[in-house]
Amino acid sequence: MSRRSIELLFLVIAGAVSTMAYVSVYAGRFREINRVSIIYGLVFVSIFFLLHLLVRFVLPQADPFLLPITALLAAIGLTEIFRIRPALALTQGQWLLVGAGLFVLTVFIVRDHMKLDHYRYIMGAIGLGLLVATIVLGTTVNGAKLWIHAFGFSIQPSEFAKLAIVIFLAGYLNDKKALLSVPTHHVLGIPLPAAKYFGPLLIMWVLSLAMLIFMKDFGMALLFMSIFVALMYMATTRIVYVVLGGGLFAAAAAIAVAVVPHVQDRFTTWLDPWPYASTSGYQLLQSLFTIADGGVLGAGFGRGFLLYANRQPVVPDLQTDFIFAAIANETGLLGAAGVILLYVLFMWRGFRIAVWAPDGFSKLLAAGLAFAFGLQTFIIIGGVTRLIPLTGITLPFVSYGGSSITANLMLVALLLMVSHRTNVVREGSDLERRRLAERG
Amino acid sequence: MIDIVLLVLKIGILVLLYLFIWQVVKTAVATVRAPAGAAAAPDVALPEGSRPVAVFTPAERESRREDRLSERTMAGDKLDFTGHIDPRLIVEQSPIVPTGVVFPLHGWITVGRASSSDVVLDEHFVSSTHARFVPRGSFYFVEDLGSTNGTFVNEKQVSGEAQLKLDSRVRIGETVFRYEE
Repeated sequence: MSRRSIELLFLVIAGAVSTMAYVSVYAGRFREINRVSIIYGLVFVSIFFLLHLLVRFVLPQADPFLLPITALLAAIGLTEIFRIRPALALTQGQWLLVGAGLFVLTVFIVRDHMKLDHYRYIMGAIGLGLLVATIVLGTTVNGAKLWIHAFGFSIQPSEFAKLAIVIFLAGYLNDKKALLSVPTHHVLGIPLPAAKYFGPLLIMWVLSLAMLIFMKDFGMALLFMSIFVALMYMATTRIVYVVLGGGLFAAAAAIAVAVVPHVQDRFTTWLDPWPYASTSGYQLLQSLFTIADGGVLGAGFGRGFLLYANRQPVVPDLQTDFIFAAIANETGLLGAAGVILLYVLFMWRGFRIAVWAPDGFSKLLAAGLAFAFGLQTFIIIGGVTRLIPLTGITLPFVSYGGSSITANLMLVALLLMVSHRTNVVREGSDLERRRLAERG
Repeated sequence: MIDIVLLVLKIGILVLLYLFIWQVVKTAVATVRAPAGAAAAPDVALPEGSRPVAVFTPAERESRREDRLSERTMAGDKLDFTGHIDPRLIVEQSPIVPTGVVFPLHGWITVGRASSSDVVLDEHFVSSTHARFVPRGSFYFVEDLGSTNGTFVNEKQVSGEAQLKLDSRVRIGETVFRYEE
């Protein structure tokens, strides 16, 4: 079976799950099953079917699993948003369309991701520029300055900055990896590479972190910080960067906990939320109750206790940061574990693509994207389940939020491009093989 | 009625979710093995189950025997040190020069990043005048010209100069040459 047929088959399963989940939510609310619920499933499936057709003709040898996994996650997210705030589901559906459009544009404009290597400094500048723009033009919501309001939309530029920074780092590190893996001098006994090559990296790192901290976007700050460390380690295989990055982070976190009240709150409620049950710990405890309420099998889509009688969600921000709690409530331990497994599968495919990629830039790009995606998932699911202190960040493809779903669809497009090129290099293009076979 | 439908949907969604995960893993693992096998297989499609075996016609076998004989005489030639040797460097691996490129050696040959070198290696770990290949009698020597990152013969750093033997590996920066004569 060809890659694209496999993809189509899995998309059909994802479509079936999506339709069933939507029918379940609809039936739970209106006590009836009608055509509208089936049509919803078909509309959703057709968006991904169109993306599948694009991939079939433009990137025929790309990995067949990424798109169906994306579709299934997006389906679960969209259904759960419809469940919690029906009005927002329509907006999210429109954002999914915009994301699909940007996916198509990315594929057509970039075509070959190797071209991005030539624009690495521009990408770095775009990444920083997006962060600067947020500080200058952004509006403050919930104490954090993350969004830019423009043309009636609100955009969260850090989600796109994430992609640009990964592209920059992959290009820069691939070019300079040999120089960065040789220490030329020691500072306080720590071996460091030549400042000429390490300096720009350090400046980028400090700048992006400073801006994210200034915006109070700590989840993204943690994510950016880790992307830098992970890519440095992958490019140079020198563990000293991980130790150094971890140490710097621990120091920065300790200072933040001591100085910034917002962070201090998050930290103390993480250690022990009970004394703050009606204040700063309320959200986290409600989330834990909601997860526990789901049991092993869950209440079923549309039947969990997620809304009070006045239609307010039981957990504040349930449709964005805390959507995992809602999923755990309605699909139970099994469903929640299944969703985590879907994320694991996505990361696995991403790293597989990186391992097989024939050149350093592709390897670093794919691994960086897969790492960023996986860590973002870990940060928010860990936060919601009280494994780590809570930092607000979106759950890729599932949370309500246009920028998140759009940026992550572009991430999938990039991974598919790397994968397609890898397979063409490894096994020759399908076209060539067909011609060879015809010649006999 | 509707409650039964909802229960069926709830179980059905979980079953499909895990079916999806299980099938992705199963299919992906199956395709992991396929490309490895395909890489080892020849370009020509072979029938299922058959493996490529070297089969030669008697004429081919004869010609191969002759090849081996001629190898032996070539090995004999090597005993003649003053015979016409053809010293050359062959690129084994390099980030900038394609593998397999041959640099014939005659007279003094300088290697470095400077464009005035005989062999220009424009990479970060190569000094502008890095090393020099020098003939002495019928032997070639490599001489390090005080480079920052050193010159290596068979991964041993050259201090001053080192004699090259057949198949010596000379590493300058990230480029490895094989010496042949």
